[in-house]
Amino acid sequence: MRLVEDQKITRSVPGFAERVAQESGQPIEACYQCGKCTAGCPLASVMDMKPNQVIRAVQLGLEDTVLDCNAVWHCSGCETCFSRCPRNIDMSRVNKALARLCIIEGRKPRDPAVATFHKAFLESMGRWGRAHEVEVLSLTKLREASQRLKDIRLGAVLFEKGRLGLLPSWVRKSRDVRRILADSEARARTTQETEP
Amino acid sequence: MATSDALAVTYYPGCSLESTAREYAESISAMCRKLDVELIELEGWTCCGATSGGVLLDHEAATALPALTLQAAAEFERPVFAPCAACYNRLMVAQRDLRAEPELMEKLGLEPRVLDLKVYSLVDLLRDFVGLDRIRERVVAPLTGIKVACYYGCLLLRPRDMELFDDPEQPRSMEEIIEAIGGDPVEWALKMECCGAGLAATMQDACEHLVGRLVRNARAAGGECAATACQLCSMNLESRQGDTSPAAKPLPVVYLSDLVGLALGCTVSEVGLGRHLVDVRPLLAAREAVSAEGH
Repeated sequence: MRLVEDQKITRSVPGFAERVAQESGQPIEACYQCGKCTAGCPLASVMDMKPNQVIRAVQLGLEDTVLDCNAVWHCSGCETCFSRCPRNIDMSRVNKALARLCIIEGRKPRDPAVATFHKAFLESMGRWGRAHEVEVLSLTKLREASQRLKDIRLGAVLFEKGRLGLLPSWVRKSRDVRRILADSEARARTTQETEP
Repeated sequence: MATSDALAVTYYPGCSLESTAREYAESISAMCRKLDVELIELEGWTCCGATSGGVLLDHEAATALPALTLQAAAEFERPVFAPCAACYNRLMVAQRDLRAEPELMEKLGLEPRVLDLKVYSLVDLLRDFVGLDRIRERVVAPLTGIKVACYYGCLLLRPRDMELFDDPEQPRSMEEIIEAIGGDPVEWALKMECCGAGLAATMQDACEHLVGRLVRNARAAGGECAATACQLCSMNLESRQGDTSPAAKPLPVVYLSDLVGLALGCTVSEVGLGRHLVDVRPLLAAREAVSAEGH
């Protein structure tokens, strides 16, 4: 299988498929490789592993292979795959679970810019209770050299059109948001400690 | 101006309508005034977590964020209106999950009425809550002559197991609204294809590829503009067409609420069209020419 030749495979991890099934809430074992997910995926052309290959690798327990591929980060979450899946697997949720496992295991994401954006978003949301877009984009650019020179003209046009809110809006309930974020992190730490 | 036929909704604008999508917020409020839909903003609302919450948080936390909004909105006897398609999606998915997981309901301390709360996007707000009859009755400047490619994007009708207001592969509700205001919706193949907006902040090239396809297909079907009901689609479709200078003749991208608002008598600036990235004036000039001929 091409998948096996191209990817560096170290080992099949027992229990990995079950862990992903649990994290994503999806019946991973049900996939029979019809390939409809990949056929309809708008981002398949920029993925190193296609959606059906990711599922197969998860079934085989190839943890390093799937947690180090760019596909989990390049999923836009459009859910076209799920709309067409005859086995009722929400692939977008599988990708999200894999992305999250990659982060909580302390691995380096294959597309760091996407991960940096998501982190900046949650950071800003926790700070103010609402995401402050200018802050999210600025932090992403500050932290990712590859992003610094992109969209400068777009930013200028948006500013000129009055579409960049420079000040965040703070809400009292930001406390609740911070608590939710902290709880999620604490649970992730506990699971990580109990995993073999 | 509250009249006897005023309709009230709890308004949940979401983070980007305060900033990069200010024009959408303007468009929504101008259109709602014409329809006597009173927007009562949910006080102290918080972020739904959007895609980032779905990726980096566990299921419980990703559900708890929109649940804050559901819980606060359930205090009132009126539906919620979330014009941001991402907020709408997170609220709907949270309701789906909470319905299936009573133990999570209990853990988050939610009351059963959060499950009965009706959440509207712009499209079903217009079709089902306001109703096509009320829209038709109030049209003062029909959209005659404008060929519109209705673009649904991914967040309104997916995932398929949330409550859907239309068919997830071949929806028609936006087209029905365009017809109600006298416009001419075109049939095109990619109205449900993803534009990549979820990755627009960092994957510019991939988005240009996807948007390019959408724009070419909309044009080939005769579309003179694309209408969206999502500010993420709108920004992406407008900014990722490559050259958007007037000489390049980019495809204008408007909100469904812009077109409805204009048909109901709003001015161009009331619906925020001046803040769009692609110049929409040629489109509107063409429309004036057509309506001048017709009358």
